[in-house]
Amino acid sequence: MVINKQRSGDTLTIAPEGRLDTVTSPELEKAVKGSLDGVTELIFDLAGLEYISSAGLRVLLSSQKIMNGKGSMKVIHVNEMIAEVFEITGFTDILTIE
Amino acid sequence: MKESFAGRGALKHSAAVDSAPRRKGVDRRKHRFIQCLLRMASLLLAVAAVGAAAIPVAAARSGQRQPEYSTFEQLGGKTISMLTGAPFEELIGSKVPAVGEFTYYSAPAELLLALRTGKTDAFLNNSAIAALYVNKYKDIAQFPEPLKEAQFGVGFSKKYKKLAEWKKAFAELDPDEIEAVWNKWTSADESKKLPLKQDWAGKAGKVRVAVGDSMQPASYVNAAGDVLGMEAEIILMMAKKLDYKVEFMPMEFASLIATVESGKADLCAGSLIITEERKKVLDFLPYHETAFVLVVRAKTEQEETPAGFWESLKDKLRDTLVTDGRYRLILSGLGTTLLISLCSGAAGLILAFGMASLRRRNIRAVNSVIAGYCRLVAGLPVVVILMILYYVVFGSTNISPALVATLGFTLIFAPKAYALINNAVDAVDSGQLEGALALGYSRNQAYRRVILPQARKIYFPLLRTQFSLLVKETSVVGYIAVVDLTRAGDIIRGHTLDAFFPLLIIAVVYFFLTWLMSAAIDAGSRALDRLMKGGAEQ
Amino acid sequence: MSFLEIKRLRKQFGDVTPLRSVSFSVEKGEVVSIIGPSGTGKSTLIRCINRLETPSSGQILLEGKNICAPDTDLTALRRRVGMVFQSFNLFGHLTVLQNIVMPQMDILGRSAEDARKEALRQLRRVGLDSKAGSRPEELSGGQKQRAAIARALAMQPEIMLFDEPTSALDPTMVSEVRNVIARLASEEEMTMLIVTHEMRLARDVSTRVLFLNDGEIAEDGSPEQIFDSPLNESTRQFVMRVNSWQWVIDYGRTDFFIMMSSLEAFCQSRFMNRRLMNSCEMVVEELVSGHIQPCLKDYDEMRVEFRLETIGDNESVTLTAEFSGVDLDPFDEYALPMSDAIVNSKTRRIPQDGEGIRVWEIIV
Repeated sequence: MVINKQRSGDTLTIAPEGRLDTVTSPELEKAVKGSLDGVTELIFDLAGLEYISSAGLRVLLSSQKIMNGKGSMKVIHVNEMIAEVFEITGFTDILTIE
Repeated sequence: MKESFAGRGALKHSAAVDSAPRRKGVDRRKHRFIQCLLRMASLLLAVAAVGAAAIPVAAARSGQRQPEYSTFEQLGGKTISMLTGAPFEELIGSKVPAVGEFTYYSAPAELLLALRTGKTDAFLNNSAIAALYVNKYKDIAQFPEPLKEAQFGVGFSKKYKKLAEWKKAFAELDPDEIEAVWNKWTSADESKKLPLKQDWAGKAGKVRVAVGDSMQPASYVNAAGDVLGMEAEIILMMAKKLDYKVEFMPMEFASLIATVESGKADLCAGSLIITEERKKVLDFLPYHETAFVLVVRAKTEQEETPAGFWESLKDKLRDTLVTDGRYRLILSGLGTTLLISLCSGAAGLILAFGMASLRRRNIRAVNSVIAGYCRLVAGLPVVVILMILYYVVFGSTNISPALVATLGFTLIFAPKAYALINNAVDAVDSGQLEGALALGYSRNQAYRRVILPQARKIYFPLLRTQFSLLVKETSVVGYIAVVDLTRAGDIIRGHTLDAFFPLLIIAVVYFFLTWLMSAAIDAGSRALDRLMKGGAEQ
Repeated sequence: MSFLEIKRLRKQFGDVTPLRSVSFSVEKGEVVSIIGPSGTGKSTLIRCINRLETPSSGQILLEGKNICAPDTDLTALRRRVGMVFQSFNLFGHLTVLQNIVMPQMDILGRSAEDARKEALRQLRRVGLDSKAGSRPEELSGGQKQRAAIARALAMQPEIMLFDEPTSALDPTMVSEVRNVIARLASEEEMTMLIVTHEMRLARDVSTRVLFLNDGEIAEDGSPEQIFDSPLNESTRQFVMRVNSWQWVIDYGRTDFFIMMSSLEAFCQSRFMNRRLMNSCEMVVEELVSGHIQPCLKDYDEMRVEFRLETIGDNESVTLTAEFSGVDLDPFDEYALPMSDAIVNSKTRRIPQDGEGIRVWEIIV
């Protein structure tokens, strides 16, 4: 998995590419937590994501919890396969998906 | 040598990685080549300098020279040298109270060098050689007391029935004339030592005489291949009386007796001393008395005025190459070496391919014959193989020794090439053979069209190395009376009595020879590659 | 009279007898695949047919003529029988074009011009005309095999033998070779005999499949019969085994990354589509991370064996988990809600009678 990060002002965009599974999720979690200082808007761009498992979902969930206290978070460019997983797990109700 | 090899490596490397324009590459290559030549030249000079410095050029005072040692007692504890295989330790031991050490050299010129450079204190040789050396070099002298009287003799084959008439002819010669001949050839004056002419009809027929080719003053060969020397002259004097044409066969001293014994020659000469041992295999015509004498250094009352280094080097170069046109000897030796290596290399390769194709038939008897032959050749020294071929197998035929040498090296080279080819063929993936067979190729066709072309890439570089070794290995053909490059060097050494400058020249020639041959083979192989590529892509 | 008839063929190498007694026949235009466990002599059998191997006993009749007779002209026989090898065996010193041109000139005596035309025709047929000037080492495995097929075809054989044509290939290259062979079968009606362990090749291309087991033909039938409803128990087990992925989690030791890579490789080898593959991976991952791993914290001696099986052209994919060393059902008692939700949405549970076993069918 490749994690692309882009900061512009108070907005941080994180775009993971490849597979977000049990093996790679801890990596993303570390990358997110380490760069949230002063961020009020967090954007996950999932255009390059091919696979997500519950481990990846947990990273999104914990990020959402942090951002609830200091601003907002949204998820963009969700492909069909990922959307289906969000649907199954009820994440469509928790996350802001565009 | 090592330096130069490094140069070659660098040359290849630069050609491979240099992506600069072609023109520049060529320049650089040229540059490397010149550098390499310079390195060779400086190496040569360095060695020559050592050699030149080793021998003090003595400017002797006029008058009688005094030997450094003049009684047997004075030789006690000293080093005394002789030719390898000359059994005189007991004789010397009986006169000299306690000899320090005996050392052995393989040629008279080497004895001389050892004495003059102080490696030994005295050497034993016959009175003819001693006289020549003492006459030529002012820094040595003859030890006053001879060790043992002896007789020089011309050897006759026991099968040759005309000894009596030769003896009669000898008896008719004027003893003063013989003495004059002796003096002429042992003197320092080279101007009168001219090649001998046979200006008589030779109605009584031909006689074959094996002579030593570097046994100055008895017999030796000049650059043009003419035989010189006092023994040769005495034989001609007799032959003239008997009206025989003499056909001289110059060869290494060690080969003389075997050549006459095997019937390849009728007579032999070259400082042969008559011994009981030799009388068993040859008949002798004694022609001059001689003695075993010791040669020692002269007393060092002389003032040494070392000649300039360049002068001395120039003298040596001139002596080795120019005087008497000796470069011709080197050139003809080079030709012989080239001819023997190329012919036996090519024939050996053909034989190797033949054996390799026989091996594929998998006939047990044939395979064991091939294996036995390879083991035999691998287990015998090259010289032994050559001598067996020349003196035993072809002992009774009148075959040219160069041809025997070519045959010998063919037999020696073939097993090596065979092993390389086999290994390379085995290294080609077995799938290649199956692929060809499945298409409908016969085994032979598959081998020729598919396996060998791929094996060639593997065995070719190794074969080239083996060929370089072959070129160098041919340097032993002197043993069977072939004058190759090495032998040419020996003959020149016999003339100039300089032990190593000719060797140095020969070494340089060998080096460039193997180098150029490798390059030529490479170029040939590349041309072949292009040809084959073109052929298949038509 | 059949085109090719093999009668009681036996081949022995020292103590080993890979072929005990093999009999079958092939008609003109048939495409027969030979499958079976490794080491059962499939390759030996096919290599007997062009006499790269000599049978110990039995007969091989090609148009009624016994080619095992001692006076058989082997080169003439091999001209009629083309062969494609597992390791391609392209001649390393020649270009692709030369590989095809040279045998035609050497063996069939064709002119350089004719041979070249034919070679280019065959290269176009396998889609490789752009590589005519390349050296074999510059080609991918799939391209090498296509070139080797073109070389054999240029000799105009009456029958083609394929000896594990896709075994040495990267999974991503299997399909290009399979497509070439399939086209040969359908368009050219070439008589072919294919030894393979690539089940999709056997199923898609052949008109008949032979299951060779223990040196004998255990079953001979249509691809549908062999792969979907084999009559013979050994056939059934073999087909099932080659169509399944297995993974054991023992004493809590499992490397997640290696497990998932191995599963992915299996899915690719079965040519699953992206979606089905995703589902398989997701189900296995959630079962392990959401059920097995939490359970292992309490029961570290638990052993779980997963087996993913596919039937036919992935028409049905089932996952079986057998567990032991634990006195409860880890899939019921330990369940992270998210994992459970994902597994439930991607599978349909198939009820089992016994304990310690769970079976799911993957649904897409």
